Amino acid sequence: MSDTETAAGAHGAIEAFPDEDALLMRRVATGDEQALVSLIERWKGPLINFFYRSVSDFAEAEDLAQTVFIRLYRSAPRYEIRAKFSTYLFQIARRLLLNEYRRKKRHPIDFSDPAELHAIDTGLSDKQLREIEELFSYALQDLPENQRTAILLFQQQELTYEEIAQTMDASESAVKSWIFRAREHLRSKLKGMLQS
Amino acid sequence: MKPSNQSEPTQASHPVLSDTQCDAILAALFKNTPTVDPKSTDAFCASVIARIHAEQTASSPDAEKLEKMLFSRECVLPSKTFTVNTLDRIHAGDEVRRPSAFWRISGSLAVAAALLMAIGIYVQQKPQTVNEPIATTVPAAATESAPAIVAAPVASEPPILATDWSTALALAEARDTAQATGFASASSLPAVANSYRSYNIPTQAPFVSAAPIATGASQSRAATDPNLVNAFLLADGLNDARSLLDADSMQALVVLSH
Repeated sequence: MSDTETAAGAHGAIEAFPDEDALLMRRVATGDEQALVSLIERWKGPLINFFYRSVSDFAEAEDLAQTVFIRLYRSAPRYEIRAKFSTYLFQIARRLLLNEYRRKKRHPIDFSDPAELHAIDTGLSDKQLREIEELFSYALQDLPENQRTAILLFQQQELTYEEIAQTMDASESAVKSWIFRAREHLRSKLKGMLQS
Repeated sequence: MKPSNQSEPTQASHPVLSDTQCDAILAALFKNTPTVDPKSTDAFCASVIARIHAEQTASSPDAEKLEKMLFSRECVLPSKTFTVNTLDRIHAGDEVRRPSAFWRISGSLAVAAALLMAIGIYVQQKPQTVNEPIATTVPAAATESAPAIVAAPVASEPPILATDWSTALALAEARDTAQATGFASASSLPAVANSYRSYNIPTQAPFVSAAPIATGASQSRAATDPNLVNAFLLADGLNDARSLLDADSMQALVVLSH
């Protein structure tokens, strides 16, 4: 089967068996606020996580997440099921993020308190965890936007290469390249910090 | 690996991490985010819906009411700035509705272009003034066989030459009229006289120069001498000649000319 036929088949499969979130979007288009609330409850966390790692400010991340849902509501009448809902959602999120980078100044980095974080079984102390968290945030901010977004969508949101390519309007090979380089950068920073 | 119970060492020492171990730490870091109080989801949803309603109704909800609604749900907002940001965004209705600078500038340019096009079309369609030559009316005395007299030119243009004597006569009369009204200049008359020579109009006597003939004593002589009359006619207008010659003499003059 050729690539075109595979893509067409996948598209047809999505159309024939839309995911639950896509069905909720159709209800949102009719003005169903409860459907919107359901989507918010499902995607609020992942969106805030994504924005938090992108802007390193929790309040900003929440505000951006809110804006995504507002834009989602506005675009609902035009929504067409062409891919997974998560792809569509993070397309909106990324566009919003790029706009924010252009418009707003960077907020001071607001590091998470390691006591609230999920436990990382690495044998590290709280102080070391805090330092790692701080290093990790700085290292992420050092990345170019495309590498940071690609690795966040891959590692944090668990999207596939194909879905990330659709979200970022890029080729799969470019996405893989970005993720590889981002991972290399983060590894080197982490190793350097832990071995210093 | 269990967390160490010892006091934190002044100098951390770790074995060299493998790529796999690094990836595991990174994976955990990616998943880690500040735990969000589940109660705040209600406030989050309420804020989103409130902002949507605010945009739809183009009116800002009362800030106090919104704040009361948020806090009445006994939720702990993760950050005070979150609430402030949300309320600011709701009240910034003008920012939402005002067209961007791009559209404002584009609209102004479009209006200017339309005005320029309208002005251009008006200028092209404006009737232009054509300088047409002034027609000279041929007097009724001219013979029917006389060719049509071309419109008399203005003083700065060379005179139109007649093709026969009778036409010349008519032309002279016209010029006389024009001269009387101050239109044509006398300098054009000699050219008319010269044209008779070129047409070789047979005359008993040659044309005399078109120099104006003195008035007074010479007038009586002009009354009897056709050539002189001719000259008089051509040089000084018809009115005096008519006062000197009767109609028959005038006709005879024409016949003699041919």
